[in-house]
Amino acid sequence: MIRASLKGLISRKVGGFLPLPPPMKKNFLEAPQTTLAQFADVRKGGGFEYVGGIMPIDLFPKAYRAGIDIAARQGTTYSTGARIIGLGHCMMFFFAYPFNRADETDVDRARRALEETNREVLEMGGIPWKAEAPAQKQIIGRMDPHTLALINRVQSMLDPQGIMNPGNWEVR
Amino acid sequence: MEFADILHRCFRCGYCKFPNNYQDFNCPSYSKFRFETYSPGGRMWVLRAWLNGELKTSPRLAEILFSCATCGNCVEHCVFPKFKDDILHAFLAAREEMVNQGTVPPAVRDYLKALQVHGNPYRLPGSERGKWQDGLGLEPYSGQEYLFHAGCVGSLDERGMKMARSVASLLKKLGVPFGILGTEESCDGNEARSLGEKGVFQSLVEQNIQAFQRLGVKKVITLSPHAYHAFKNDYPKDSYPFEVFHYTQVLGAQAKKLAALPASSSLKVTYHDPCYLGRHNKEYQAPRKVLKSISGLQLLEMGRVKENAFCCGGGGGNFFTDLLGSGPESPARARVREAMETGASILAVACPNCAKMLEDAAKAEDLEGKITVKEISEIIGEKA
Repeated sequence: MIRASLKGLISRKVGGFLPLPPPMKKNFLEAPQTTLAQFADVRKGGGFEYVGGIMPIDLFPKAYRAGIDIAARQGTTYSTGARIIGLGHCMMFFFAYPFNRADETDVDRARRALEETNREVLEMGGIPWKAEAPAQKQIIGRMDPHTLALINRVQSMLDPQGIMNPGNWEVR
Repeated sequence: MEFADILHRCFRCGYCKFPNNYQDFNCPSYSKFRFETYSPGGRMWVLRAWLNGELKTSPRLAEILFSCATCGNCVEHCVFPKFKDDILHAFLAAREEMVNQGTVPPAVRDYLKALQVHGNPYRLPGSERGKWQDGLGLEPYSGQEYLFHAGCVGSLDERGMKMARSVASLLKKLGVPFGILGTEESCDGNEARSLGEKGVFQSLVEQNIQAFQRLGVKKVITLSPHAYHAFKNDYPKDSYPFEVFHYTQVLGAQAKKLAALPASSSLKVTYHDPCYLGRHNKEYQAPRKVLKSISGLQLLEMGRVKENAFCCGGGGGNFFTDLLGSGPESPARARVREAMETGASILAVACPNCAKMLEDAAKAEDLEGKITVKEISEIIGEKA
């Protein structure tokens, strides 16, 4: 039923990302695709996390400034980019923070930048895409109580022991 | 642990698991177990957790570490220059830690104990070591140009002995001047090294170097790519320099003589690159040169060859410990199926370990009569 109701939007490509511009497409089709691994090695430490906020396009300048301010405040290195969604009704706008997994201070710095970025996205009316566990908690904290109750009922019915993907979207 | 300071840099992008055409997984242990922890990246993360005290030593952890076939696919395909050179070094250092703790899998313990007590993993007396060459009329080494080193598998394993006899006979027929050590030969120690037993490896190095020095050996031909690798890269050349050749390199130099042999009607052959000859030492051409010199032979390459070849699963001591050995998803069985897809009726090998692994796999796959595993000189030998 859901699929059928969305079929028109899907086939018109209204719901997905707009086609990549040629330079990005070239990068994404590179094999091996080294960009992400190289970015993760900026701090010589094998790690990065990102916040990809789904939000209206007109928030771009504000979101850009906010991301830069957060990175400066937390002392993190960053990478940023955007993908336009559908017919231009919104965008996925990301800030990514690399960190050195062997340096706890560096890991904490990136963690704080992530927390703050997630908070900022939600404040602006956006929603973090593919949210990691701490971002999920922030989303759950702002979720409509009826939606929360519905997710809870579905989870209780399908996964009463909480064994499916534990740690993720734990609304109870 | 040595190389502990590089482990955190692995991002687990996953390219270490693949060949460059991405046709299938190319890490033998990941291909077999299909758990991230059995891939190079996962292994690095688990290893780091172990060193940080977040993970206790367990039989499962030992299996994860010792199931690596040290094939070098990860080193070939990791996207980080320099870092990638130490991936296998880190795994061997971790094995060394486990050896020192005495927490290795039972099969590894038994292998190392047999090597220490008997000088070979088969628990056979030294007097058995020379029997592989009975009736061939080979000369003991006494200053000939080359020393032919048969190794433990070539000297004591039934399949390995067949291969050693075939190679030595062909070298003799071609007039290559060589001698053998027979019962005086020692293990090259490559598997002890790759299983993390540095002490045993060191003592075998000294034993071999002393023998070579005493006899004045200047050039060694090895049957096994594993011995070739150890002699070439891990023996200290500053104490006693000697040249090392894999037998296919010596046969390659005789390609004209081989080409003059009577032509076969039609031989469809595919070739399996041994990791310790290919990826570890970049020798892809010599075996192919020998094969291509055989009149009537058509070489049909598999999808994964040369630097992308899929290991038979017998490297890193696994030939003896068999941590990757059984079941349809074992690397050797997957490789034999891949060989079948080429339409070849002969799967050519240049390593005694590969010969046995793949021959057993062909039997398990019920492919006997459809594809035959033959070592390169065995293909030539029928005509020579």
